[in-house]
Amino acid sequence: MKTALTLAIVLAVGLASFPAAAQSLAELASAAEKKPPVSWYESSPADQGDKVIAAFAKKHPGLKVRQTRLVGGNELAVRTVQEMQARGYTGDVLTGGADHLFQIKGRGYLESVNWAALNVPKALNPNPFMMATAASVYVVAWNSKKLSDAEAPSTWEQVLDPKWTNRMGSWVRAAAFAQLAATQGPDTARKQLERFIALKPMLFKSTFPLAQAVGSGEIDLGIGFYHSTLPPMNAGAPIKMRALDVVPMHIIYSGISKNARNPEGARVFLSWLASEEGALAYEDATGRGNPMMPKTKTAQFIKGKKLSEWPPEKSEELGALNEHYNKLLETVGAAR
Amino acid sequence: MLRWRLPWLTRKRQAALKFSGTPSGGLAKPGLGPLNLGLLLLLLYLVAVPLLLLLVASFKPTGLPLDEGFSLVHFKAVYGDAGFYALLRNTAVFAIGCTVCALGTGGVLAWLVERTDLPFKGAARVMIALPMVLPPFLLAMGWALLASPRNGSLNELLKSLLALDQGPLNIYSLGGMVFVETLALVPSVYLILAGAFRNMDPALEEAAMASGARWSDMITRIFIPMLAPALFAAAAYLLIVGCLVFDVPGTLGMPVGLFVVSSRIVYLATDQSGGTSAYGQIAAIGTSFLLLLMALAWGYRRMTAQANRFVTVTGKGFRPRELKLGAFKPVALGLVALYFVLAVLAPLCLLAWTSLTPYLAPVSWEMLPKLGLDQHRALLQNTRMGQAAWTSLWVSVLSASVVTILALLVAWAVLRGKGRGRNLIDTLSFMPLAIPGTMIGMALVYVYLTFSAVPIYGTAWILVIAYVTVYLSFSSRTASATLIQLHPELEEAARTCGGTPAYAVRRIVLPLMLPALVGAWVWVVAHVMRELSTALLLQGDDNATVAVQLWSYWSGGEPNKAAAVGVWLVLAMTVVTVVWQWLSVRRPELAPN
Repeated sequence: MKTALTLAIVLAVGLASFPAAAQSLAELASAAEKKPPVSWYESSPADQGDKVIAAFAKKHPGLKVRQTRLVGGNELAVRTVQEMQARGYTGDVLTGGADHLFQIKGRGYLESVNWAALNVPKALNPNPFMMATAASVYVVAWNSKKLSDAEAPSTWEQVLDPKWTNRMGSWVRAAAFAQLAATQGPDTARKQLERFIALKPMLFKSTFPLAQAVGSGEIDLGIGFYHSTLPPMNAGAPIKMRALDVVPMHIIYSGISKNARNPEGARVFLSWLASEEGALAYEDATGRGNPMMPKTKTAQFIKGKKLSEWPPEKSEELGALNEHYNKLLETVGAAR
Repeated sequence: MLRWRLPWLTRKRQAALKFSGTPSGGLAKPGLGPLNLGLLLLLLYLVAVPLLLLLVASFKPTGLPLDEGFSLVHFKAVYGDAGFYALLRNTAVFAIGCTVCALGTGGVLAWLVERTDLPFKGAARVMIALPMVLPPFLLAMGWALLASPRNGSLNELLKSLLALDQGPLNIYSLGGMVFVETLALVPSVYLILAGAFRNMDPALEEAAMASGARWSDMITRIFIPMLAPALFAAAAYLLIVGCLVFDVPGTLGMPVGLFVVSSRIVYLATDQSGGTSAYGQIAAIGTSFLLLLMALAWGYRRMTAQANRFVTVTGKGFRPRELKLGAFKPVALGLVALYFVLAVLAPLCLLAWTSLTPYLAPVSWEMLPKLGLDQHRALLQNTRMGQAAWTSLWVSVLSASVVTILALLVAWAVLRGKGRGRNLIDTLSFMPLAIPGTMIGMALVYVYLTFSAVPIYGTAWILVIAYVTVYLSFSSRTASATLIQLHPELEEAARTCGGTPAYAVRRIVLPLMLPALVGAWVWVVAHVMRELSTALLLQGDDNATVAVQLWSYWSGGEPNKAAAVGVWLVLAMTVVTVVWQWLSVRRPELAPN
């Protein structure tokens, strides 16, 4: 009875708050339309960014968004700091990894936002400065002409089997193992990395060419990202992928900068990205979905799997592990 | 003041003039002069500002020049790491290997085209210049598809022809990296050396041959001594480029764990843990290259101090003549064709194939039904691509024109000028070569964010400034190497006949230097077209270039579209170089001979 009463109160409060938030968003949108376009710093290729913006424009035709593609999160942090130092403002919406947004937040360049007022589900915002937009999820991808589904590994233990020596590929960064350490512990993850290095994997600057190399048969299988394996798969290449027993991933976060020239527009845009419609449009355009939004393909892909990721507040610890593991992975040349 | 103008004086007399300053010893030491002053101010602005920011960044704890505090932590991190020296070893082998191979190949090709009666010279020039426009990572990608040990098309062919179990070629090796980078660098060597070869008096070779000299004697006693400034300029350029270039080592070395210093720089810029680029460490690495470059610049100046040693074009007796190849003509043609096949045709065929396939796939019968023009169609319908092409076109033409004029002025001020500050002008014009493109980009972001009175931040104009800075070193070396061969008596004769200095430059110096300057201009246009790292850092809302768009396709998982861009780039450049050759025929002053 008590539980039912509590639920009823929560429901009533929830229902009552939605029209208020919606009204508030409408006001924000109206104010935002009179200001310069929302400047969005993000790393997706411009063609993909265009698709996201076009989908947003259907919902808010009077509100303009312009994407500036900043390659990788490090450039996001550096550009933001430079612009804030020199002219006092930067892009309105900043999208990058937890470590990048923490760098910006650490300098006081991120705005504290009442996410609840923007209808952003609590699960998406670990703190008032950032909300989860998407994720890069690690997968194993294999060439379906060279390996059958049964032969392809489905656990990390199978990935590390010596039979894959000289047949394996990987990103040149050992970030998957650094994220694995979140659940396996740093020592276990390091031992796994050492066994992985013994396989003499081919290393790629980015996971996109890695996926292409799997598709072309240059390598039989590789540890890459879900979203970077999709393009050759969608183009008809003989590739398949699956999530392993433990799924390392990096959540991509967004925040609003201090002194944003269109803070209202930034709020409306992020509110839309946090909605089911926005999350699906973003995933459709970029391949990177929000694992916390149940209807995204990414969420369905990893459903039931054990996830492994360091929380955003442990970015420094993760950075130190990455540094250490990357140096280990660079010894692949010596292993050959 | 007059020691550069009176080459017929003995060295002793010149020393006496140097001591006294003027023949009479009574006149004051020359001042800076308007040309030198203007050049110094411009170069200080273009070069010294990023340089200063580079140095400041290397001492800042965060690597960002406007942050507080000073520290040596980055120098300790870079030079205290034993792994860095392993990278240096790989880098040295790679850079020296490329330098030697590119100098050898480019030198032979330049000599064949400029000094012999090689047939089809126009076509040969186009064939040698074309690889310039192909972004090296596409060249590397083409060769990876050709000579990958597992499924390279060439390896597959050789396996079936020679009944081998394994492909005999392995492009993923240090040798493979040197080979592909050499192919990419040969056009630059050709352009530096072609002008110098062209202006050599054939009487020297003829005299040597008449005296029964062997080829080795001619190379060691005539070519190398006479071409020393151009050779040194080319070697210095190649050495530094070999140390900083990433495309080929990143595509062919990284997959098998062969890392070089540039891999480290890219890692520090884009993948460094902790959420921000490690500009402090990049700057600390950059300072070593600055030292290396300053040593090279000092060596170059010492070598060219006696400028008249290298003069070959004088007022009397200069007869541009060609050496008869005789029975060696087919061999010489074969060499040019072989270079063209390796540097353009073979990789381009693979790129063309890739641009027709829906995903990256080796050449096979099985893929034939899947070939189509979808990538090309998508490319031509992409409005961003059209805008990027226009931006690339005008930015490259404008940058190349400004750089060429500036290079001519630098060469003139250094080699013919009277004023003080010539050494500084020479050094400053050489320096940008040692500053990694990422650092120039970062410096310009600060400069134009701070000087908001010049509102070019985020526009294509900031790219023009960046490219004028980045490519000044190559063009000024090319211009200096050519001007050093022209005897000042040519201009003096014009003045004796009543011509003004400007008239002498317009009617005598420029026509003689024009082929080299046009070559340098084409080189800069092609390199701006494909330049990526600075363009990415300076990217704003609407200043994306073709290279940025191309990289966008590549990094976004669409190598087929990237290959299609490469094919169109080569086609466009073929048109440019063919038109250039056609103009050369109609306007002899543009023609190299």
